Parts: sequence; C-alpha cells; structure tokens
Amino acid sequence: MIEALLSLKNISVRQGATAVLDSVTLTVKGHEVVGVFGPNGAGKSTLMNAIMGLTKVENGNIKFNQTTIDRLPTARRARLGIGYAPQGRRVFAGMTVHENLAVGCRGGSVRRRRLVNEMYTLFPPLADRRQSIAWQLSGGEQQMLSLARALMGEPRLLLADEPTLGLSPRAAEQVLDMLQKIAGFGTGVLLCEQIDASMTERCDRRYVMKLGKVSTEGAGKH
Amino acid sequence: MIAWLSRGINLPLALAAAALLLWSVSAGDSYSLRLLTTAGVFATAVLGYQFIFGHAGALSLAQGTFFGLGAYVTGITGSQLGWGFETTFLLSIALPMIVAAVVAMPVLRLESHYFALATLGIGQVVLLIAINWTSFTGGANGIAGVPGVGIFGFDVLRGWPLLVLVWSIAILASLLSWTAMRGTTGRAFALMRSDTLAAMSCGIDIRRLRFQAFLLSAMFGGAAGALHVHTNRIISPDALEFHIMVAILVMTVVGGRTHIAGAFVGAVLLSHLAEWFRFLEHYYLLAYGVLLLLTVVAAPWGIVGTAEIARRRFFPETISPPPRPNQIPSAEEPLHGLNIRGLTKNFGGIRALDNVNIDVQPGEILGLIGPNGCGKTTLINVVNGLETADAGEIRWNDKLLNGNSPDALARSGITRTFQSTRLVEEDTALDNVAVGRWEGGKGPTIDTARGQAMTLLNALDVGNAAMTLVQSLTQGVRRRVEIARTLATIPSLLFLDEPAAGLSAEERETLVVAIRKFAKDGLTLVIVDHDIEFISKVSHRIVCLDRGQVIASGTAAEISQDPVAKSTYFNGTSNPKAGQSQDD
Amino acid sequence: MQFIQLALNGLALGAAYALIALGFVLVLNATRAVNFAQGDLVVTGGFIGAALASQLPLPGYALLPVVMLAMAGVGFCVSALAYWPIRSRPPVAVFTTTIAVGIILQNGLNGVFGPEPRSAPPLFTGSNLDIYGLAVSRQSLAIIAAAAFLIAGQLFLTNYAQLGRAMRATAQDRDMAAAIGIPVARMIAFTFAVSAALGGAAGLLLANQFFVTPTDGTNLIIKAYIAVVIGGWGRIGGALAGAMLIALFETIISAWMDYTVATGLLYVAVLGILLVRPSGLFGEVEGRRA
Repeated sequence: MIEALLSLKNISVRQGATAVLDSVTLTVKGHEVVGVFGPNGAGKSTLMNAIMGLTKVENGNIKFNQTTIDRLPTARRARLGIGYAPQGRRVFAGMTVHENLAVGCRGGSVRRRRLVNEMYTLFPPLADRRQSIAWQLSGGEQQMLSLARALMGEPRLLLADEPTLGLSPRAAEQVLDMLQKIAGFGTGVLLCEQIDASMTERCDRRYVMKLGKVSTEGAGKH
Repeated sequence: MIAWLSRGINLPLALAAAALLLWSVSAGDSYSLRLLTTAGVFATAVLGYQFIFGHAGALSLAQGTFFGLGAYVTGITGSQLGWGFETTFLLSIALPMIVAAVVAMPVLRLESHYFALATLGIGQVVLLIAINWTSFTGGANGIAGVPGVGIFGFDVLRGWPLLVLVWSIAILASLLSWTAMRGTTGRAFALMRSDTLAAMSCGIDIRRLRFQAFLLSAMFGGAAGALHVHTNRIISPDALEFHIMVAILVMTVVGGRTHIAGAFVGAVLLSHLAEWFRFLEHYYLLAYGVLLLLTVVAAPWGIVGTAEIARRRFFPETISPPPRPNQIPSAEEPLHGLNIRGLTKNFGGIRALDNVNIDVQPGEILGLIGPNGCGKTTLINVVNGLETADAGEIRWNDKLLNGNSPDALARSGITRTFQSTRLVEEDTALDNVAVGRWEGGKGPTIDTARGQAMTLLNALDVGNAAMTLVQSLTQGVRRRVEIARTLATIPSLLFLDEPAAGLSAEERETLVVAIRKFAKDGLTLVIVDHDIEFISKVSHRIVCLDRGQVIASGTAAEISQDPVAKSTYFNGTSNPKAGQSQDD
Repeated sequence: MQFIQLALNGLALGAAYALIALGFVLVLNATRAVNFAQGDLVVTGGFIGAALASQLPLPGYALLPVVMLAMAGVGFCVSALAYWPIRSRPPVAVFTTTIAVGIILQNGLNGVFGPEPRSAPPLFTGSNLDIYGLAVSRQSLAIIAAAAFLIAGQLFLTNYAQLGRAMRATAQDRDMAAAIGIPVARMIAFTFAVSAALGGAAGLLLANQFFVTPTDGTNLIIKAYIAVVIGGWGRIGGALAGAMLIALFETIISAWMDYTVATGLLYVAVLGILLVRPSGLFGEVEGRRA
C-alpha cells in the first residue's frame, strides 16, 4: 500500500459568507495523474491555491510526504517539493524564457544548466525561443514554459491548474502527454480542468468538483 | 446611552466637544485660546484635504500650497492695500481655486504616482517664487504687521472673538462638506476609491469628481491660510513650507480621512500635541512622524474611523427598514442593434479575439459560450472600453463605439457586470445599487435613488438583503446586487459576465424570468456563461467562441446539432457523453 | 576649458544622482510603491559619514563600505517597519508611511546633529589633478568612478546573477515567486537594504563638495522622482539617463543663473514633461503601473 504523497482532509475556505471549499478530502500518490473536474466557480483554483498556501485554509489538514504543511508559507512548500503551474500560466512576463527557467532552479549553476537543457529537450519549442521575452510567447508556449518552470524545482508533486486552457486540441494533447510522462518519472500530478472529454482517460483517478464540494461520483470510469 | 450609541458615534464626540469648550472657557488664557484658534484653522484645512485625499483617494501634496497661497493673499492685500476681511477672505479662497483649476487639467489625468509628484513640484515652485519675489512677497522674511480681522469696519479682536470667527467658519466648512457628500455623490466617491474600473462602468465620471474634490480642497485650504495669517499677524514663506503639508496630512490620517469629526479630532489633538511635545524641541516633529507611521500601519481609519468601526461592532445599528420602492425611468429604444465587425485583440503573442463578427438585434438576448480562455471576457472588455481593439469596429445603434472610455459608454447606456463581483464591501447592498443612479448634479436625491434601488433588488429577488452589508452576502446574492447596480444606470445594452455562477437551480430560474422581463422592456442583453442549460433557457440566440474565433451561431436547438460546437464545447460537464473529438 | 570643467562637475553630480535614482527604481519595481524616504536616506548616509569621520581615523574610501553597510541596516528597518506590515494595501499607503519615515529621519538628524551643514571627507585626499592643463577635481573623478563601479555591480547582479533574477521575479509576480521557492520577504528586505546602501553611498560622495543638511532630503527625492519620470517609470536605464540629464541641466543653468531659479526651471520643465509625455523618454515598462 503506497502512502499518499498529498493528502487533504476536510479542507474549508471561506470568502465572506460563501464556502468556496467545503470539507474537501482527496489524495494523490506518486506515479499517478489525478484529475479534478468541475465547472467554473466550483473552486478548483482555490483548491490549488490552498495546497500551495496562497489561500488561507480554515479547517482541515494538508499533509505532503507525511509532513503537515497547512501552516507553512508558500515558499517553504515549494522547497519541500511541490511545483505549481497556475491558471493563466503566470510566467514572469518581463523575463526571457531562459531566465524564467533559471529562476525556477534552487540548486547551483551546474545543476541549473543541466536542468535547463533537460527542459529544452522535453519542450523543443522553448529551446527555439530561449531568448524571447515571455510576454511575446503564444498561449501554448507560455503553458509549456509554466510547466517547465515548475519542473525546474524537481518537484515530487506537480499542481497544474487548467493546463489546456486556450490551447489548440493538438497542443492540449501534447500537454497531457507531457503530464503523463512526468507521472511516469515518479512525480504525482494533480490537475484540474473544466472539460471532461478525452482527459478522463488520461487520469489514473478522477474527482468531480461542484460548488466547493469534491466527490468521486460521476467521475467516469476508474 | 446605548440606544444613542447605536445610531452613530456623534453623541460621544459632541460631549467631548462640549467638554473641550468648557475647559477652554475655564482655562481662558490667551495662550490656550490661540491654540484652539489654530486648531480651528487647521480643521478647515483638513476638511478640505479630506475631499481629495480621503474621498477621492488621490495623494495630493498641494494642500499646503493652497494654504500658503491663501495666507499670502490675505497677508499682502491686508497689509499693503489695507482691504477688509470681507474682500481679502474671498480673494484668499479665489486664488488657490484658480491655481487648482489651472493645474488640475493636466495633472488630474495622471496616474497617482505622477499626480503626487506634480502637486509636490507645484508647491516647490510657488515656494521659490515666494522666497525670491522679494519686492512683492517680502522675500524670505515675509511681511510683518498684517492687520487683524476687520469686517466692514468692525474689528474682530484676538482671543475670544477671533476664536469664535474661526470656529464658525470651520463649522460652516463642515456643513458644506456634509452637504456635498451626502447624496449619491458620496456613494460615487466611495465606489471610485474602492474600485475605479467598477466606478467607470457605472458611468461615474472619475475625472470630474476628482476635479471637484481638488477645487474644494483648494477652497478650504485657502480659507484656512487666510485665517492663519490673521491669527499670527505675519506672513512668511513658512506658510508654504512642506511641514505645513505634513501637519495637514498627519491630522487627516490620525483623525480619520473621510469623517468630518475626524478633521476636528485630528486638528485639535495635533495642535495640542505640538505644544505638549515642545519639551522635545526638535523631536516634536519626529513624534509626528512616528504617530503618522503608527496610525497608517495599525489604525488606518484614524481615530474616528476606528471608533466608528468599533461602535458598529459593539453597538450594531438597528437595521432601519428598507425604503419604499420607487419608479425607475426607462431607457429610450434604440433603432439599430449591436454590430461587431472584424474585432481583433492581441496580448503580446496571444490572440484573444480573432476577426469576430457578431450582430445583436435590439431587445434580443444573445448568449455567448465557449471554453475558458476563448475570449468571452476580452470581448466584453473591448466593447466596454476597458481594452482597445487592435482591429475591427463596434457599432451600437449605428454609432461607432471604438475608443470611448468606459464611463462615457456607460453614460450612453452601455454597461456590464464583472466575473468577480466589484462592490463596496463596507456599504449596504442598497447603497451599492443606489450609486448607479449617480448622474453628476442632475441625478435623483439619495432617498429617491434608494427607493429605485429597492425596486431593482426586488426585481432580482434579493430585496431582503437590501440593508445588509455586502461583505456578509453570498456569491449568488452579490452577483445579483451587481446586476441591479448596472440596471440602475438605465442601460440600453447590458453585458452580463457569468451571472448564474454560484446560484442554486431555483435562483437560476428566477434569474431567467427576470432577464426575460428586462428584455421585453426594451433592454438588449449579451450574456456570457458556462452553464449550457441556463444559456439555452435565457437566450434567444447563442454564439460559440473558441480561441478568439466565432465557431458557431444560432438558436439553442441549432447549436446543439452543430458538429463543430459539439466537439469543442458540448463534450463537457453538462453532457457527460464521452464523445471523441471529431477534428484534430 | 571652463565648459569642460562644468561638464565634469555635471557628470559627477549626475553620477551621484544616478545612484539615488537606481536605489529608488529598485524599490519601485520590487514593491510597486514609491519610497518617499529615499532622499532622506541619502542625507542620513552623508551624516553617518561625517560623524564617523570625526570619530574614526579612516581614510575617505574606507568610509564608503562602512556607510553602505550601516545604511543597508537602516534600509532593512525601513522595509520591516514601513513596508512589510502594509504590503497588501494599495501603494498610497506605502507612500504615506515612507513620508513618515522621511520625517523621522529628517528630524532625528536635525536633533542629533543640528541644522548646520556638515561635510564628509573626500574619498581620496590630495590636490586637483592636472590633466592637459586642466585642474580636475580629484573628488569629481572619485565620485564618477565609485558610482560607475557600484552601478555596474548592481546592474550585473540584477541582470545576470541568480539573486538578481529572483529579485526581478519577486517584483513581477510575488505569489508565483513564492510558488517557486523564492523567500519573498527576504528578497524585498534585501532590495530595500541595497537601495538604502546605494543612497547612502551617494550621500557620502555628495557630502564632501556640496555639504549636507538634514532638510536636503525633500529636494533629493523630488529629483529622484523626476529622473524616474523622465526615463520612463520602472526603467532602470531610463532612470540613470534621467539622473544624468537633471544633473547636467542643473550644473549648466546654475552657472548662468541663480541656483534657486535653476531649480525652479527644473520643476517647470518637469511639469511640462508630465503634460506632454508622461510616459517619459523611453516609455513606461509594459504593464507596470502603480
């Protein structure tokens, strides 16, 4: 029985009088891709932000790799091994592709160079545009950059918030291939998306999210 | 006492004021009277500063300059020309206002960080002129022997008479301030400083309000300066020095930047502090600095603001009954509808809108659907004036809309709601809606506006939330409050951005019925949402967007049969048929 | 001949102003907020230099690192007291708290040292150098050299070093910077420290030729502000260019006219710029507005 890499128990987040997350419980293990599907406003991004520490959590408990992290600041959680590719990509718009990757690395210059080259191999379009300023990239390229930047930290868990947003179907396929590949390397991947479609097959497990609540009903085949 | 407290902080303050008055009567020496007079002078200056810094939320550093200008006018005309108070006072108000009007035009449209610099620069220039134009201003030494107040020949002596005059003017100023802010204008200012974009989308003329606030601040500043000179009988460049601006700033922040009582508390407190700290000599100004720092960090609402918040917490207001609903005027019917041609918008390398063509008939409800990132909100932003299109034309009723500002468009009847609600948290739902009725000087009174707001809240089935503060309302209610606010601007074309998010099935039903009724009354609507069912029920026609392009359009029935639309969008949450994509 | 003399003075002044402007822009980019106390930090550096010089038998150039280190500490305090507690509030709040810090510094210095102008020792002692028959002030050269060295170092750090990248990332998107493991609070404190150190260095350099009074700060912050507006809000290169322009303008005009008139003309010129082209010579940095 593999211990869960990430485990959320009864997480709640309130915004004024609204419960944006309502007693959410879910787990992610290494080597697997877990999908959370739900419409806009369901709370998916809030869920990601809560795991990352960008949103404060009222109740409940988040454990990453057996460590309780729900009181830790965001940077600590990142350094523990959580990578984040947020909704809207949020690359560092004024910095080049190369700089975006470099800044994501926490090791010395040797390791940094090795990892950057690995990213260029994994994402060839980024290699072609390594000196371009990030805001000039297309949507798909920015999405790749966002993922690559997260991977520069060599995370054990990768959070991907709507990674196929605004991408052409082919680019979306490529991104999903990439995520499966990353899971194959041993990283746990938690992604959330709006559209169910072909993504259901890509995930090892699925959750459905609606109005702040998470369940496994109607999540498609297991 | 508790009943009184629950109606506002005014009673304790009034008692404090009475106590202060009694104390000064008993103390009575000329020194403490002079101190109190100075406090009154600065209270007037602070009341003026509250317009631009407090209500309009703009960091102006010109208040000291207006003060100094008023002081110099009185100093020079009083001592060199011997004119009476009745003339010099009016001139002291006029000159700063003229200067404010002249510099306002270029300066007010600057972003806040430039605005502060511009006002600071103006102050420095005026100071340099005062120091160097020795023949006129007396140079660095200034002019001594400025006469006291003589009103139509009657001398107002220093001591009690001057005190009464100064405080009468200060109280008059506070009445003026109260009148200016009590109508829908006060609510418009509140929205403006809380969320500029939302304010513009309600048709609030930001520039005009800032201009008015700036002029008023100049008026009160000049008045205070004139009184200051009469108190001290000397005019020198000291009146234009930065430390006067600092004093006014500290008093405003410490007292409470939007509360009239705060101006008095700040002025009285800090004038006396300056004296109590005189033993610190040079360090008393340092104490001012520490006080300013502590206040901004720990109690940003100032003394009166914080007291008001505390009072609300411990002695909450009995909720007054909601006003009676009022008739709302309706918009005129347009002849032509909305025509969008070739609309294109890029953000760097991302093409958010790609040659979009859409037509909406007057009185029609158009639904706009598409996956996240397809450009729906960008479309609204471009039509609404928040973004400029890179190519293409937008016409409403045959008039070209491109290039107009959001507030100008809102005033001509085109407005929208936001994906995440933009409301003033500390106000009631009712007041949030009433602000939509602001029309410069020509709009209804606050009471009429509130009545009209009530009608709209009822129409959207959230009437029972009218008197609740927005911060306590759920998402679903907040969205409908925001819709009500847009309706209050009496629009002819309305864009709703995800109005149904967070609503229960029942609430959605009610919303559909309400929207259909608005359309029947002549409103043209474009609704963006993800819920296919909701969009199908409420729209006459639907347009599908994907990655910035229109991929399908027609009635709900037609769209559900369209293969392109189906593969891009319909394999989604509402239709869990695990259908494979046909293309790619 | 005289013109070259003048130009050299202008360059030296510009070099010092450039240090001030650089510090100002670093904090501006990192926090989106104006540090109104930057001018007063410069003055504080000058006074620390003057005070140390009278106590310690250090040569001028050895004072520089000491002053910079002390000012880094002051900068750290400013960030902890006046910025960090209100970091989520709109930039106007930081403006106000830094005005408060400025008042505290000005009046603190006034209280401790008195209002009289003080001077700090030159970096290198010695008479003027003779270059092609021109009497060249040693201090002017020293200022240019020191400023150039510090600015080059800072630019290198910002653009090529990992630390600089982390600082820029923090400036562009604080939450995402945290999400990749950057200790955001430390980055910002560091930025304030560097900014104060650069300002303090400028203060020490200026205090020899120009003397320093506690109230000089207001004037200096206006000039830093103007440099940033001229050069384009948020642009480092632009701010440096702007600083140079201001210094040259001041030096040349005040050779012919009264200093106060020159200052007045400067302000009027700036108001004109704000009217006509507020985005500055090089335009504002994309999507970067307070």
